[in-house]
Amino acid sequence: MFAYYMHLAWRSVKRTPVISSLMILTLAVGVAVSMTMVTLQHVMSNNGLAEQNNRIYALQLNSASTGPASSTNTLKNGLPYLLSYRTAMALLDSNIPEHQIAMHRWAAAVSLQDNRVKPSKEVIRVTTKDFFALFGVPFIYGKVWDKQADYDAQYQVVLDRPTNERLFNGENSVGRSIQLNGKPYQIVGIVEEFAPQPSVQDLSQGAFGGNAGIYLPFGLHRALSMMPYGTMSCSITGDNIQFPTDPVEQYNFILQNRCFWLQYWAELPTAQSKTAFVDYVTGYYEEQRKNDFFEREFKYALSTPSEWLELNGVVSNDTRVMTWMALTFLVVCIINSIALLLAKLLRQSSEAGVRRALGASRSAIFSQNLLESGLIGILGGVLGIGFSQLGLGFVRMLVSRDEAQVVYSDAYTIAITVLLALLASMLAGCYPAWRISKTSPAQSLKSQ
Amino acid sequence: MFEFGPILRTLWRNKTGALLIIVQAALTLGIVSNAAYVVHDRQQLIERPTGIDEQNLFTLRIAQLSNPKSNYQDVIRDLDEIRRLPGVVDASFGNTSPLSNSGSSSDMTNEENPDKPVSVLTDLFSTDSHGLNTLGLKLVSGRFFNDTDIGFSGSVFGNGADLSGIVLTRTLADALFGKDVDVLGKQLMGSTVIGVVEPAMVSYVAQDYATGVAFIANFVANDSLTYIVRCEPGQLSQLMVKVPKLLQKLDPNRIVRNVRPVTEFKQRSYRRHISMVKMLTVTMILVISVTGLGIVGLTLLWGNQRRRQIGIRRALGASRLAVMRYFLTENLLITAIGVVLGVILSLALNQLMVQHYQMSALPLSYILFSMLAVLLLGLLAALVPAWRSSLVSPALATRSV
Repeated sequence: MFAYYMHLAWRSVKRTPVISSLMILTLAVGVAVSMTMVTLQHVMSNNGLAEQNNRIYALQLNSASTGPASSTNTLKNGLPYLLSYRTAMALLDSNIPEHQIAMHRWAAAVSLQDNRVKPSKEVIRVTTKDFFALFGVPFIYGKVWDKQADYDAQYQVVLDRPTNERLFNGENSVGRSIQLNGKPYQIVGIVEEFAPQPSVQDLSQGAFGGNAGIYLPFGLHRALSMMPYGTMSCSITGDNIQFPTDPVEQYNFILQNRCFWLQYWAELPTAQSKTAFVDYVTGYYEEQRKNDFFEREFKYALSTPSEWLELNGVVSNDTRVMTWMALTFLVVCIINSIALLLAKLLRQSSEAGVRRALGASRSAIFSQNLLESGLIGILGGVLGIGFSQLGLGFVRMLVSRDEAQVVYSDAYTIAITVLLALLASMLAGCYPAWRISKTSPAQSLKSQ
Repeated sequence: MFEFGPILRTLWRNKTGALLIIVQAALTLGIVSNAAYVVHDRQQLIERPTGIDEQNLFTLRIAQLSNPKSNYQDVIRDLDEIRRLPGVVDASFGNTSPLSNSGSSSDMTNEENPDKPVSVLTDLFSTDSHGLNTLGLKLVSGRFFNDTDIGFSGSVFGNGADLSGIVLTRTLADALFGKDVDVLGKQLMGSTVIGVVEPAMVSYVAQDYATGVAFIANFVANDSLTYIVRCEPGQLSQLMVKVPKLLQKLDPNRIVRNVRPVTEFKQRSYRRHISMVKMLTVTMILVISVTGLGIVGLTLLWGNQRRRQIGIRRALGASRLAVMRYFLTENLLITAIGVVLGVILSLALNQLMVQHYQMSALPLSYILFSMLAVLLLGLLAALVPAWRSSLVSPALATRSV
């Protein structure tokens, strides 16, 4: 029976080659366009730290000044997205979080003493030692620097696996050293690569700009007068503020004032620890408000990695608008196919009439016609999956290089595509098949 | 004249088909009007004049291997050598690459009236005496810097008092002091305004980063110190190879990196908008093709279905033109209903976009224009099938009875 219906369907498709291919193409293009956008949105909202979602939080404080036009960069919730050095140092004193980190991005010329590899400028993460424990980055060789290195200048460095492979062919390089801006740093550990995309841990330099393969201890700031390779915004108002001219004092001024440039994460696994941490932060804020370091009322935000992605607007409004447009376009394509299929099947209603008159049941007519529309739908869907790869190729040409690396369909988006194609073909097929099965045989025969 | 009565009765007997086309036309209008508006909006944003000679500029950065900071004397030597190359118009240093959307921004405050200070977010661009000519800017009044003006304040938020003067774009002067006010000699952040240049974008292309540019003659030896080279037309690609070679020869112990034309920075700064324009344009083309081809197919099918009726009409004396007119009117009627529904839909879609995604409200002109476009699309798509249907011979009516 199935084979016979299939045969009939195929013959019917062949009888109207132009209209049939038009329907198939329409469905294919609709599925492809919507899948391309759904994939883009999916990869942009990918949370590489989903496992730690209930444990780790990014902290923001209402620390901007109340100047006439504060140029401090804020997120959607109106709070600056970075913290000042002074605040970060005070918070690091707390022992409530299981792990906590203050960090920023930096860059330096990387070379080896023996000049085996070509020198290059590399992005570096300057962080307190808990980074690896908090984000769950395992050590392959060696271990993290001592706590003291977070406070005093110790020229130590941790490399990730790809960097170690490039510089030392993947050998255990612990104890050897690399040069940063011409100064030697001793390697204390090699870690696995940690490069979530988007880089949830630091979204201040674009959705993919926060990853680095080289890690330096936090205590080096004063020794190197380190400025971030990224964003620093200062909001310094008030009377009698004199910017020092001496470079050392100048740097100290930046560290002690409202200059925002550090990311801050705290691991708070239980509700109690979270409450306790908030209390601690409140206490610190109110105390600093008395000496005018904070000018605004107390507000804070602790965001989980997924909330952090949302707050930073990684999936842009443009992407969302495009996704809705694409889904609307899919609806247009489905409606278009239903209309065409309906008109086509109705033209064949006389055939259905003959079959009905010869004793075929309504459900037989229905399933025969559904098979035909299903065939068109499935062909459209399969072609659509192919087309969506073209669409993704087009998107890859438009987005930045970092983004282009992740704009590929995965099992999840392919599954959605298949479902969408099936749904589209069912929607496009069911109604016309049902309509045709309702034709009364007498009327169709009469009009012959 | 127009067979509205028979057409409506026929459509009523075949409601579903007509209804589907109406919905499709409405959705098409919704997509096209909103997409066309966003595309046009973004294109205008991208095409805003920058005021600098972006086509003939490229930039590069230097990373010292031993010392992260560049030495001023070395920079002066490098720039002098670059200027001597044939094909180079001028060269200077800057604190960032033009149009790269990264740089140094700061609030500038006009404190002439202490009760009502005026603060404006400003692009703070440090450069040397060649900066004006290198960027291709035009001076409106006063002067640009000379070689003795250079200050060395170590950090980009230099003390205004250290600087010998400050040059503003007219846009910034207007925002701070009022339209067309003479600002020469005025005090700003502890420094004196010595010149005004024509409106321009330098570090940033996005207005939310900065309203205008304040030029300062300040040498800051840090990572982002950038060499900017202006070439004679047509010399850019050649000099982008020659200049790095020259710099490497002058001092091999450093990395010459990020050699890029300024147009590339501009394109990158606008990438989000450029990709939106391209994706929406493709979507518009696709939705118009799908709807257009759909109408073609449907009119063909409907025409075929009614071959006998057409034959009868022809046999009863209707001209070919009358048959064509019937199909075109039928189509126009359906698309018109769809378009009217589509206006409501467009406004609703736009309302949602305004509410949730910070898009701006759709101007009426776009709706009117898209309405016309969709109607025309329906008419054009129906033209060939209608003509084909009109070819049905009157004999057909007699034959198949």
